[in-house]
Formats: sequence, C-alpha cells, structure tokens
Amino acid sequence: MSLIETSSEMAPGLADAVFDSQRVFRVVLDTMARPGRPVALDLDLDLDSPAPLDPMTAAVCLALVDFETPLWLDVPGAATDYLHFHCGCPMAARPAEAAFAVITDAAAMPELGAFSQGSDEAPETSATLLIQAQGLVEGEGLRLTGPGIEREARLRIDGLPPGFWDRWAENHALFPGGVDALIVADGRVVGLPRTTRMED
Amino acid sequence: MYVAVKGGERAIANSHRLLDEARRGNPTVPELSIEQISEQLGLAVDRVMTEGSLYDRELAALAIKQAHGDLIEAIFLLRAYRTTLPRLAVTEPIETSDMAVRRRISATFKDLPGGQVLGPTFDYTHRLLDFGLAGTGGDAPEAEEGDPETLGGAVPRVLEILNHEGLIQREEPGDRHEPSGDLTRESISFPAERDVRLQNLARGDEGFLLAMGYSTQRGFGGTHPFAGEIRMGEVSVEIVPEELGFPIEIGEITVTECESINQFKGSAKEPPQFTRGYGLTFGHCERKAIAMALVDRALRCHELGEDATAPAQDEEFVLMHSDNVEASGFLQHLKLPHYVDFQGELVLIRNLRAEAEAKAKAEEAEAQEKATADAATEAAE
Repeated sequence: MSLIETSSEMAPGLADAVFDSQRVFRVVLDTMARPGRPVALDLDLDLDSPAPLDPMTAAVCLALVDFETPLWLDVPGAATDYLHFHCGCPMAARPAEAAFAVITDAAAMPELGAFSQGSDEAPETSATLLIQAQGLVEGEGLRLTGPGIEREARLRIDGLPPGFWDRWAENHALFPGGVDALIVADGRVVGLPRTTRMED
Repeated sequence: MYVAVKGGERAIANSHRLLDEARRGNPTVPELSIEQISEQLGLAVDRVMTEGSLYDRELAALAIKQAHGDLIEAIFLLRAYRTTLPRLAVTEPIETSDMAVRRRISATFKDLPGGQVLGPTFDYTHRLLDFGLAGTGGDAPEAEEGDPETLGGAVPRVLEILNHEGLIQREEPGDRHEPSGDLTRESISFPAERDVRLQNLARGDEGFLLAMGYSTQRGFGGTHPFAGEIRMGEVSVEIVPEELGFPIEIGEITVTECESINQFKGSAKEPPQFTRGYGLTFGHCERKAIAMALVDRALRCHELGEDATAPAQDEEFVLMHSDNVEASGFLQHLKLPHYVDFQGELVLIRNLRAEAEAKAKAEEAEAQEKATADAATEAAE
C-alpha cells in the first residue's frame, strides 16, 4: 500500500489533538477512579473509525496510545491501519509485547495472562486492555468492590467470554502487577482496574 | 511559638509583576529580540539547548530572555517545555565523520589528514576587554573563506589513525537496531550502561563536569588525557520513515565532539594501550565536550579493571549529581515553607535541652549531697 492511498482513504482522527485528547483522558480517569460506574463519552468527536473498531475505543486509543506504547489488535486490516497511522504507535506482534491491547471480539479474547503483567518493581508496565463488549447494564449482575467503590457497584457486562471472572480473580491476586481493563459498550466506557474485585 | 507566615495569592501575583519588571529593566533601553539573543549570545543558546536536551535555537533564546539570562533557569524552562512534546520518530545515529567541519583540531597529531582547522575559537585571543565592542553599530569584519578543498571532503577521525596500529582501545559499534536507553523515560539505575551514562553527561551541568574533569587532571583518578580530536560543525539528521524503509534527511544540527586519548599502563584485564573518552554537545560547547570526555573516561575504570578511588570514578556520585535542574530544584525547595517540619525540630531541641538541663541539675545535686556527706563523715572522724 502506498502512502498516498493510505492518506486519501483514511478516516480522520481527533479534530483537536490536544483538547480532544484531554477530554477523553478525563473520562478515562473518571471511570478508572470510580470502577464499575460507566461513563458516557458525550464529546461529539464524530470519529468514523473503520469496523470493527468502536468509535469510543478509537477515541480512547487516540488519547492514550502514542509512539512509545506498542499496540496490539485482535483484527488486522483497516482498524489496525487507522490506529497505527493516527497514534503513530508501534504495532505489537504478540499480546505480551503490548502496552495497550484492543479487543474487538471479546468472546474470542486471549487469556488475561497472555498480556504483560508488569513486575513488582515496575507494575506500571502491565498492559491496559480495551475490550469491546455487547452491553453494560448498571444496578444488576456482578457485585464489584475495591478502591474507588464506596460499598459495592453492580454491573452486568454482556459479551465477555466464559471464565473471564475466574481469570480476573487471578489477575487481581497479582497485585501490584496485573492488567487493567476498560470495557466499551453502548457508547459508554467502564473502568476495571486491577484492584477491583468481583464478589460471588 | 513559631507562627506560620502565609504567602497570599495577591503577594504572589505582585511578585510575578515585579519579576516581569525586573526582566525588562529600564524601559527606555530597547527590548532584546529573540533573534538578537540567538545570533549574538549564541554560546549561551548552545549551552541551554545542550543541557535542556532540546535542539531549538528559538526556544532556547526565548528561555534565556524569560530567565533574565539565568542559564540554569532557562535550561529548566526548556526541559519543562520538552516534556510536553510528542515523540514522532527516532533518528538514525548521526555520523560525525561526515560533518561539515567548521573547526577541527588535534592536540596529538600536528599534520593530520584534513589539517588543523581553527575556526571560531577564543583560544588565541588575549582575553583583553575589547572596548570597541562597548558601542554598537560597528560591523564585524568578514572572515576569509576557508579552503573548500580542505573543508569540503569527509575529514577522517584522528583516533582511527591509532586504531590502525591497534594501539588504542577498540570501540565496538553497538547494534543499530537496539534502542538506546533514555533516562528521561526510565530513571537511571546502577551500574548504568554507557549509553545512559553518556546521555546523563551530555545533559549534565557544564560547571559540574568541568570540576570533575579538572579533578582527574589534578590527580584524583588521573587518566593523563590528550585532546585527540575536537570537531565542531554541521551534521545531517536522518530518520527512516516506516513507509519508505530508507533514511531521509530531515535537517541539520551543529554539534561539538571531543574524543580524548588517555594513557593506560595496562591492568590484569587489558594490555597497555591508549584508551578513550567521549564528549558530544549540541552547538559549540567545547569546554563541556572536553570535560565530558574526561569524566566519561574516568567512569570507564571498571571496564578497564582500574581501581576506583576518586570521586570522578564513582558512577553514582557523578551521575546522581550532574543534573543542574534536579540539583537546583532540591536545593531551592529549601525556600518553601517548612513550618511544620521546623516546628517539630523546635520541639525536639527544646525537649533535649530540658532533658540535658534536668540531668545536669540532678548530677549537681548528687555531687553536692555527696560533698556534704563526705564533709559530715570527715567531721565525725
């Protein structure tokens, strides 16, 4: 593919790289600070990201991923080209090499252990996963507890693979290591940091 | 009771206004332009770019203007700005052998291929104040053009001459594809690799490195240095865009490079030979480049199996104290309120004082009692 073809077919990224990134960052910060509480991204970013990349996932990537954070995607093609071009990030060949991972098909996602877990010395080097799910319903489903949740948060996430929550418990036990996740669905994003526990 | 003094918002705002006023000085004197600083205080700009780790003459000149000419403050400003810049690419290593040389000298070989090119240097000035510069309006005479044949071609490196004879430490080229360390992304740990060490020295305070280099010359970890080669000029900067796969030139920067040649009598690990130190700076920072080469060589003591006995050979001491932004931040934080800290110290000292006084009083009473008892015994006898 030549450079010219790429630029003429490529959907645009954030209109205002600095201020739009800051607004997206604020949303991500809010949801990571109050895990289990989905936050809508009402920012009128008008991202026309190529399928199967959710515009919300694309917005988070455009705000967080850059030249120094290798990105892994579970689909090749237009979505990869789009993020590679706009984020200017290196593409990770394997999940373990990624600082950020985009999972468009949650049902077929790799095990959490396949991603970088960080180390006790450098827990910040673990991966952040952006998982596109089918739906988020507050007030029912799982009982989440942990830092940033006053008593408990109830949340149903549709579309995660069976056994996900067992793997999540193992991930939680790796603290201070372990991955962080952001679940994207219905135009909302919800933070699931490594410190969040799923009760029952 | 020590009462806390509060810095009010208005006091701080007024202080900022006073700072602006002090920067501007007498308003009847014409204001300095960025171009004037960049063109006529070029070496200050070079130092700020080098220690600020950012090659941009305009921004460095602006920082100098904003800092009232306080270069360490200007370096701080530039470093702070640098942290806001996105990283777009990593350049190929610059090739100083292909430099468009403006100055190139060797103190070890008189008749070297390519010749000795003095270029602009203070070395042969008499350090007499030139009162002709006190006024303005005098145009500097134009310098004679250099011989394009001498300056045009690639100028071979002096140390390669010794390398052919096998008399100097071999410098094995690193893997081009292996990324270099970057202490601005990952903090330094010890023992440090040479790439990170050189980065630290390149950003390090010129005065600190000068003193450290000087200390090795005076015998604290002596390395008997020669200025094997000093060169200053322009080198091209290249990147390899992923979609092209071959290097393209994106610009040109001025750098100063110093390679020192150091005597080495040999150790259990290495035969007698000449060894090397390396210094590189943005712009024309010759003193800094030489000092850096000396300190780099001193820090290679472990690699060469020398005993590390002097401060300049102590990696942690040198690398942890070379950065003037870090050093000045920690030093100047002493001006911030430490009221609670100090209150704690005050209570502690008062308690210790009271304890000591009580103890002294008790001892005195005891001694007096004993004296009285002794006197009574004596009297009874």
